[in-house]
Amino acid sequence: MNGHVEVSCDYFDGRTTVRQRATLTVLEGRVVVQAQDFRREEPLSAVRVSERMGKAARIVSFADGAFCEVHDHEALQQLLDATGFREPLVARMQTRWSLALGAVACCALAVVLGYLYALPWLAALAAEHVPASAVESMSAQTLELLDRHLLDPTELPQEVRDRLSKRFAAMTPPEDAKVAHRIEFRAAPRVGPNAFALPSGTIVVTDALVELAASDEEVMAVLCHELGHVQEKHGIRQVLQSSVVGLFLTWYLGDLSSLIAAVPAAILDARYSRDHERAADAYAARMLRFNAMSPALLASMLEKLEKSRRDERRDQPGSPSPKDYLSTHPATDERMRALRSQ
Amino acid sequence: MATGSVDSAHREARPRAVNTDHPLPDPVAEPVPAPERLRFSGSGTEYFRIWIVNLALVIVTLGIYSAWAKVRRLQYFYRNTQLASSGFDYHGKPTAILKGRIIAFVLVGGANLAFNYSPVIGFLVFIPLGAVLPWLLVRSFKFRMQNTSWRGLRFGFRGTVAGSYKAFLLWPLLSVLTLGVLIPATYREFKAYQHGNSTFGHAPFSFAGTAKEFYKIFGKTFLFFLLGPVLVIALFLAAVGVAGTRGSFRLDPLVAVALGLAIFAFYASVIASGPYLASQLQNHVWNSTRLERHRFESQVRFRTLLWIVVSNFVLTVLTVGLYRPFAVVRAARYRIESMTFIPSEPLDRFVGQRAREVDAVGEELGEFLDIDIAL
Repeated sequence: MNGHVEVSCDYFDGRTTVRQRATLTVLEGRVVVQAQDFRREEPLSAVRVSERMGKAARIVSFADGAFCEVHDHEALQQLLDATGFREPLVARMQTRWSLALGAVACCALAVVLGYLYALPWLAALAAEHVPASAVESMSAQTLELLDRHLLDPTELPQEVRDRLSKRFAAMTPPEDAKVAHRIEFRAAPRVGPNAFALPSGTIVVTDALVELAASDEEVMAVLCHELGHVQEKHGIRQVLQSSVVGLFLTWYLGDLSSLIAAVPAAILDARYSRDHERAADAYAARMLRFNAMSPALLASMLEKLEKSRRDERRDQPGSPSPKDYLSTHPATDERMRALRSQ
Repeated sequence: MATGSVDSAHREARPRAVNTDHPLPDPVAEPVPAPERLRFSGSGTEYFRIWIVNLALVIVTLGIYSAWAKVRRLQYFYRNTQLASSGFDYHGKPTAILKGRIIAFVLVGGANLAFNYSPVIGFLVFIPLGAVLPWLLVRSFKFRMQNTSWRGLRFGFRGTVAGSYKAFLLWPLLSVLTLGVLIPATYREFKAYQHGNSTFGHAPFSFAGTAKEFYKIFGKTFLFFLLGPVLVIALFLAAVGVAGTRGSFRLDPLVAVALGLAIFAFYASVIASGPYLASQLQNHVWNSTRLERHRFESQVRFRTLLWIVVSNFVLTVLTVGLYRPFAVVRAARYRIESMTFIPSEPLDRFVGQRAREVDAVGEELGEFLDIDIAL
């Protein structure tokens, strides 16, 4: 019943490059290759057929390395249909547009979910297991680098520094856990009023920030925010998350250019960074209330920082104000509203 | 070209006994077959579907499917590449590739972790890894070649480990020590080792490229695309610097625009240098390669390749990467179809034997470390 489809093919013996024109057919459950001066018969089960790959010839191969190269896809398909052959699932997926588009959606969904949920979750898990010595040496190196290029020794009087450090040491972090930290003061004319936390717990405060604050309490509020970053290991998490994002983009954009990969990487990292700022704000609010202080202290400090940054920008016309989605910090208005409502 | 293929196909249709002791064929009695241009029948729309289905399955299986994806990808490109209307084929086993990938992942990942943890420990891990790399590259070439076939005959690689240490450790070290002066000579050593040790069936490939030619190619690339723009920018910056010491420190808009243009010109020539070097190298490497007495001819044109690279780049960015499979197919088609095989006797004379299995560790490590091991 299935012996009447004859497929023309090229037969190769697997040991030489001699090409023989032949026909391929199936007779009573046996594959028959018939050339001008030879005939070969094999049971169906001893013969393999390659997946369909576009216009490329399909290969019907025998156990000893001999094979037929078939260019006539339609005739071969008829023969295969007659023997009840079914293409493997992946091969069928690759030829159907609907499934290919489904795969696009599946990839996009996986990437979005991975970016929004899986990666931050995994990074938080992994951050717990980064050895303390690695965190310590990484932070020490960063501070050294900053000291060399950006920061100068503090010009604040010793008693001011001692008073602030002691005051902060007397505060209790919320959720019982003590967080190891050390406060470093630095003059930083090129940075302006600012504070940042290194993963090891070193919190760097610039002289200008202390001068900008109306009271010690406002400095405490900023320190609470920075302690939030330390407690929740935002530094390490950010490093882990952005290296995965960077790796993914380099792989996906491949041979394009590291330059072009840097822009989306910066945008994607900024979102993580904004999430961390919000989390640190929330931590600061809890800690301030825990110590009978108002979260509004941080809000007023943020307002002043924003104003000083705006003033500085006015001195430098032409530098554009960053849009919120590009910024590493959430809009200050939004943060102040959140803090004042607590 | 078309008549040539038909002609040779007719001749090959008559099989004949192959006798390796046979005296060289009489050129009068047996006319030399016509040159055969390589053909590529792949298409972007086909490869897009293969690529996206692979990608989805890799994500769903957390990367395990990547070995199967690699086999399907290579089979698509090999089978769609045709010489004298017969396709090439790839026979790598996904399980062998998966094993290789796991080992490579552990080795490279471990070395990276160690390096982040402490540079000292990192070096202690990287040094032995670098020391075994040439050995792994031999295995990598073997795996890739023995799993490649044309008309059922396997390619092969018989480079020695000693030769690999010379080409992949000694020469690169020397070229680092000489601040890159030896890079063209090192590249020649790579290709001489790779092409000079490849086989097809029992037939050996040979490589006759000279260091002088490679110095010309690298030298021209350097002069045209890198040195000029660097000098322009340096002069420009010097001029700005001189102006800056006299006037205000801030850049005025005109200077900023001019600097922007200079930087753009710099990037443009750096981008153009890639396709220039690639086209010149492919042409020279293949024009210097022989398979017994058969020759190859490669005619990649710089301007065409530059257009393909730049337009691929723009379209890939505009489509958030979805154009990538189309881009890969376009570039592959151009580079493959620029090649012609010039036989000195009919193509049905090659003889081989069954290939042995080789494991894939070397090849996968090479891929991880971004080493180009394509023939």
